[in-house]
Amino acid sequence: MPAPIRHAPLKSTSPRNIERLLEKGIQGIAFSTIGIVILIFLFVGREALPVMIGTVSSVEATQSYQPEELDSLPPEEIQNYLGLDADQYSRLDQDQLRRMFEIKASYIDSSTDSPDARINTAAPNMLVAPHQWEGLDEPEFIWEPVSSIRKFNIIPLLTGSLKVTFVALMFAIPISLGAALYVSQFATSKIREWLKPSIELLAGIPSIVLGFFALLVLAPLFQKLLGYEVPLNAFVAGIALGLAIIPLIFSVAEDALMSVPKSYGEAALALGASRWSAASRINLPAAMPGILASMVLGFGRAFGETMIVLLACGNSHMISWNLFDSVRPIPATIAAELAAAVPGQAHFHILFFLGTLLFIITFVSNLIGGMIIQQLKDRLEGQT
Amino acid sequence: MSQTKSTGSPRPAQTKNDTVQTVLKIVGLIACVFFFIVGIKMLSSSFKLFGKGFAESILTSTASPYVGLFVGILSTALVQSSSTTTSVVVGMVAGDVLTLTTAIPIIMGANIGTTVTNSLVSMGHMTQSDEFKRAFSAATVHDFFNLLAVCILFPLELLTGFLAKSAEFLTRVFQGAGGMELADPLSKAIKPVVKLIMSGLGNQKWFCLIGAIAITIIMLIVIVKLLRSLMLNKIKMFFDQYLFRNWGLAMGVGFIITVGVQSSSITTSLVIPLAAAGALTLRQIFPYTMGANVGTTMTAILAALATPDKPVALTVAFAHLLFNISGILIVWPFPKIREIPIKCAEWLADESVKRRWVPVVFIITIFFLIPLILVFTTPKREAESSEPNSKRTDSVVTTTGSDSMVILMTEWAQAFSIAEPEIKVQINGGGSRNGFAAILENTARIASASRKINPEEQLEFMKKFGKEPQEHVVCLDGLSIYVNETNPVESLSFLQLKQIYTGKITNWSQLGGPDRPVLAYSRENSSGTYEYFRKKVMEGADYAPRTQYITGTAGVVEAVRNSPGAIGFGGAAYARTIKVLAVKKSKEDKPLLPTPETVTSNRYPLTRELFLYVIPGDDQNNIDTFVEWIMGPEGKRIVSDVGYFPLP
Repeated sequence: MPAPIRHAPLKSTSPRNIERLLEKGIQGIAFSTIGIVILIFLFVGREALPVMIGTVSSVEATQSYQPEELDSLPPEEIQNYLGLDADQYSRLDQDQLRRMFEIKASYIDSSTDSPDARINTAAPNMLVAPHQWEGLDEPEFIWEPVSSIRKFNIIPLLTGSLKVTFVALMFAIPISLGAALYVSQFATSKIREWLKPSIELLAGIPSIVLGFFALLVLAPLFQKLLGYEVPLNAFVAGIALGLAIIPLIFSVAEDALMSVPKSYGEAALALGASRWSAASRINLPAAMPGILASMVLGFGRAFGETMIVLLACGNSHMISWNLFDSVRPIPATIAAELAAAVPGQAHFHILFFLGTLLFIITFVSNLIGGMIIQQLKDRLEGQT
Repeated sequence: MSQTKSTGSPRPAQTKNDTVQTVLKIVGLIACVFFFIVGIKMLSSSFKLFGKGFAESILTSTASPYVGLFVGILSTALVQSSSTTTSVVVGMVAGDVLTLTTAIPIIMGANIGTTVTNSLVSMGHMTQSDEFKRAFSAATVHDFFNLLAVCILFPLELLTGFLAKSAEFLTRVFQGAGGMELADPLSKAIKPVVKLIMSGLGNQKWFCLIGAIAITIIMLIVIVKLLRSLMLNKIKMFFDQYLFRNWGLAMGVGFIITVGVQSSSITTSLVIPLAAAGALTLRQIFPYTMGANVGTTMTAILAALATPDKPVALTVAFAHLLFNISGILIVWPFPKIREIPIKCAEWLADESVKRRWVPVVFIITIFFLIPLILVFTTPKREAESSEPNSKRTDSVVTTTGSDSMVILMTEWAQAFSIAEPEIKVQINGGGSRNGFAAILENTARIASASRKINPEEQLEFMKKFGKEPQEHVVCLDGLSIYVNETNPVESLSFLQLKQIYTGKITNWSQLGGPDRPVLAYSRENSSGTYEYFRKKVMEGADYAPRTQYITGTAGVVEAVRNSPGAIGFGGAAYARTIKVLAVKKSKEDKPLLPTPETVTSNRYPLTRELFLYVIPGDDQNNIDTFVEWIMGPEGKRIVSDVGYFPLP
C-alpha cells in the first residue's frame, strides 16, 4: 500500500525506523562477510609471508657464548643470539639473560655437528627442491619438521594431496556424471523428484563421519578385496573423498544439463535420433562447460578437505607412484601439526604458508568453476 | 473500546474472556518484570566481567579527593553497581590504603555512577519518540539530582568535613547496636537465573553484554505493550491514589523497594517502563528515586552493624547515608532548587528527541569521558600495590599435553574432584608439545609431558615469563613395543628397532619372523613419545618416510591390532590389550618386558619419567594442592590402576 503511508499517523513512523535499522543491520552483516574473508586471508598471509620472501631461517647459532661474556656483548648481538625482540629483551634482567645463555649453550653443544645444521632448511628453494641430506645416497624430498635437522620439503605433502584428489575425482566423476545424465535426460519426473534430493543428501554427511566410515569399513574391505599391505592409504582416502564430492559434481553437472534448451534434444529426436544419441551427442556437448566446471569445483573441494584424509590417508610423508601407499595431504598436515608448532618458528610459518597455498588453490578452482558456469549461462540464455 | 451493542448473551462470555486475558496479561507482566530485573542484573554482571579489575585498579590509584569523586563515578559506571564500589572502598579504608576524607568523595562519585544503569535502560525506548522522551527524562532526573547534590555538598564537605565528622559520631553511637544481614528473596530467585544464562553464554563478556541488553530491551518493550493493553488509566489511577499520592509516599516506596532488592539501579530502572507508558509522571518519579538513594545505603549499614569488628565499614556506610539525606534536605524544601533537576531532565529529553546523538554523548561524557580524562591526567599515587582484593576466585585448572598421560590425568582429575570439590581440573591431550605451546599461549596452566622439556622450549619460557617452569616427576612409564597377536617375534633390540623405524628393515623375515612386510606406526610429531623414541632408540635419526603417523596412543594400538605386519609403541597403560615385545638395549642383554619390577628398578631399558610442568602464577595454591594430591597415596594408587608405575 504505497498511498496511505504518507497519511499514516505519527506512531507508525517508528516501526519503519526499526525496519530501516534492520535493513542497515543486515546490510552491514552482508558486507562484513567480505571483510571477514579479507581479514582471514590477511592473517594467514601475514604469517606465511616470511616464508615466501625467504626471511624465515631455521639456522641457529653454531657457536655458543659463555655466560661470562654477557657483559661484553652489545645488546643487538644478545638479542640476535637468543632470538629476542627489543621489548622482550628490555623485560629481562641480567640473571635471566645469564640463565638463557646457559640453556642456549647447552643446546648448541648438544646439537648435531652435521654439516646440514648450517643449511637454512626453511629457505624457499629447500621447500621445493630435493636435497641430499647427510647419509643419503641421492637428493630426496623430505618433510620432517621435528628432527635434529628440520626438513620442510613440501613436495611429499603436495603429491599426497594430488594423489588423493586424483583418486577422488576418478571415482566421483564417472558416477556423478552418469547420475546427472540419467536424472536430467532419461528419468521420468517422478523418479527425478526423489533421486535428485537423495543424491544431494550425501552432501549432508559430515566429513568426519565419512572419515570414520573409510577408517572402519572401507579400509578393511578394500584390503581384503585388493590384497594390498598398508590398510590406510591414498586409495581409501580418495574413495571416501569421492563420496564427499559426488553431490557437488552431480548437482552442478545436472544443472548444466538441465539448462540446455529442450529444443535441442527435441530437434534431434524429431530428426530420428535415439534418446541415447540425443543425450550423448547433443545435450552433453552443449553442457560441456558446465560439466567441466563441476569437475573443477569438485577438485577444489577435494583438495581442501581435511577430516576425511586425516583419518583415512595413513599419514606418512612418502613420495611414490603407488596409489596404495600411505600419504599425508596438506590439510591433514596442518590439522595434525599446527597446535604443537611454536608461534614464530619456521615450522609455524611454513604451516601457514601451506594454508595459503591451499586457500589459493581452492579459491582459484572455485573462481574458474564459477566463471565457466556464468559463461555457459550467458551463452545458453543468449540463444534462447 | 467496548462496543455497546446490546445483543444480550455474548457479553458475559466476553467479559469472562476479558478476565482470563487480563489475568494472563498480569502473569505475563510479572514474568516480564522478573526477566527485566534479570536483564539488569546480568547487565551489571557482564559489565563486571569487563571492568572489575580495571575499576579496582583505578580505585587504588586515587590520590586527591577531587580525583576520588571521578574515580567513584568511573568505577561504579564500569561495574554498574554502587555497592561494589562501596565495599571495595570499605576494604581499602579498613586496610589503611585510603583515609576517610578521600573515601567520601569516592562514595559521592559512586552515587552518580550508579545512575548510569537506568539511563542506559531508557535508551531501549529510543525508537519511540514520545515514550523515549518520558523514559529518558525519568532516568536522567536521578542523574541530575545526584549531580546537583554533589555540586553543593562536595565543596561543603571539602571545607568543613561535616560528613566525615558526623559519620564518625554516629559510628560511636551505634556501634555494637547489633545489625543483621537482610534477607533478600528476590536476588535469591534472580541470581541463579542470571548465572544460568551467563554460563549458557560461556561467560564470554561480549555475549553476556549483548544478551543482557537484548533481554532488557525486549522486556522493556513487552512491559510497555502489556501495560498499555491493561487499561493504563486504571494503573495510573492506582499509582496516583496510593503509591505515589504525595512525595513522601513516593519516597517511601522507593526506599522500601530498594531495601528489598538491595540495588538502587534496579529500583530506578523499574519505573522506566512505567514512565514510558505514561503511568507515572516525572514529578512522581523524582521523590521515588531519592528514596532509592537512601535505601541503597541501608544494606551496607545493616551489614556493617552486624560485623562490629570493622567500625570503618560502618563509618563509610553512615557517610553514604548522611550524604544522601543531606542531599534531600538541601534540594527538596526549596521549590526553586527542586525544579532544577526536573527542568534539566525535561530539557535534555527534549533535545534528545530532536537529536538522537544527544543521549549517547551525554552518557558517555558524564560517566566515562570526563572521569577517564581526569583520572588519567592527574598524577597517580606511588603504586605500592599490595592488591589485597585481587584474589582469584577462578578455580579451574586447565592441563594440556601428553596424550600418553591423558588416560592417567583423567582418572586423577575425577578422583581429585571428589577429594577437593572446589578445584576443577580440566584435561586436554594432543601431545607433549601442545602442552608447552598451550602454557605459552595462556590456554593452559599445567603442561603434562612424556619427555623432559627441551632447551628450545626452556628458552621460549624464559622469553615469555622470565623464568623456567617448575618440573614435577609424577610417575614412571615403561615405553612398550606393540605388535600384532599373530606375530611370533618375542623380543627386539634397540638396533633392530632403529633399523625398523629408519626403514633399513622392511620385512619380518629379517627379524626371524614370517615373510611379511613391516608396517611401522609412530605417533604424531607433536607427541613426547615420538621424540623420546627418536632420541633414545633411534639415536636422533629421522623416521623413514614410510612410517605412518597416528594421532593418539589408542589409535596406534588399534592399528597394530588390525594389521598382522604392524609394529608400534606407546605408554604401558595402553598395552593391556595388545601383545608387547621384550626389549634389550644391546644384543648381549637379556630382553625384558615392562613390569612394575623391571620399571621401578630401572632395568627395563625404555623406562621413562612422566612430568607435569607449571609456571608459578596466581592460582598456585590450587595447582600445589593438585600436585601434592597426585603424589599422595590416592594418586599413586590411581597410577597403578591405570597401568603406569608409581615412583618408588
